[in-house]
Amino acid sequence: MDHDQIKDKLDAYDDNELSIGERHEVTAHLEACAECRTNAEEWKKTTDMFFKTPQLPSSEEFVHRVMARIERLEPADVREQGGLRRALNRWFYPAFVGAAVAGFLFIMTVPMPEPKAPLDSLLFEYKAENIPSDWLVSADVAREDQILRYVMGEI
Amino acid sequence: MTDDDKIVRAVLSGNRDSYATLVRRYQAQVLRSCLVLLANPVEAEDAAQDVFIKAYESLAGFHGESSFPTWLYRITHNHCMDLLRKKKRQKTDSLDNLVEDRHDTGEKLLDVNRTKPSSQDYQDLINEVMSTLSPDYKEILALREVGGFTYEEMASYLRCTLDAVKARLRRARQELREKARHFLGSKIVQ
Repeated sequence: MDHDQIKDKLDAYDDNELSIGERHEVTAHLEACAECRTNAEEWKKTTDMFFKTPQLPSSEEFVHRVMARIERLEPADVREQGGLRRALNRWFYPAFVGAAVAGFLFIMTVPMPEPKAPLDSLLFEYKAENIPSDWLVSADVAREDQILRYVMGEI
Repeated sequence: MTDDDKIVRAVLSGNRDSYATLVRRYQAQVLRSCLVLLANPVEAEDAAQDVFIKAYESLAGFHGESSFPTWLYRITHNHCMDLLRKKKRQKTDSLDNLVEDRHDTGEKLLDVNRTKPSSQDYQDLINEVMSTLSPDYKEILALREVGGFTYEEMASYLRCTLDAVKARLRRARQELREKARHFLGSKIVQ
């Protein structure tokens, strides 16, 4: 690796995300290259300043405040809510979605019986028997049954 | 089973006071994470309390797949990112605006001939610099520098590729480096 390639690897080096071979190579380069060494040191100081300071002391007051808020909660409810939510997330919701998908697929794959005659000719024939409209066909139960039996091939 | 796991079990079986041990043990870590992400000490303190309450309420959902601090960190991170999104003001302050607002605070703070800056001054300045980073950058920096996530863990957590993680982390660090150099230059470069 040349200088620029090493420079690109400095972050990964710092993050311990390099292979052993790459790590050795970068380490050797850092010993020889002042620029890369300065960059690495600068980043170390930056991270120390931004992410490792201040050293936050443990505060009993903070613990008391949190525990006081928890006192106001009902622990039994918390456990039950947690258990219920977990059960819903793990079983009920996936089962519900699965059942819906299975139902949809079943409906889509069931073969529908073919009518014996085209709908147009069927209506035409019944209109010929003075049935005034398609709506009246539906309203007249006896005739509707007759039409259904005809469509299903029973007559 | 770790000591944390034992405490979680004790809490779930009704020994609520045991939870104080976990709060005591992880308060500094949670508070620091909140401070990095929110860049505001008051908001960070409130958020840290909320995190422990949320963790308590979700304790039954902790199954030990990850360690307790990692699980707690995820809650912290999600809570703070939610707060940042709700703020909506997205911290669009440019570097120039910050300079204008703070005048030459950085230089003054670092001028050894002037009154010695307090650690609070430093922290205020650090918070301000952090607040100018975009939420995406703060998020990935916090995951790596505070949470200690590996690249793979970050990719999984952020639901993106390893290359995307590396690219975003590189850009975030570059921006932080530039701002740190600008405001805290002599302190960092010396």
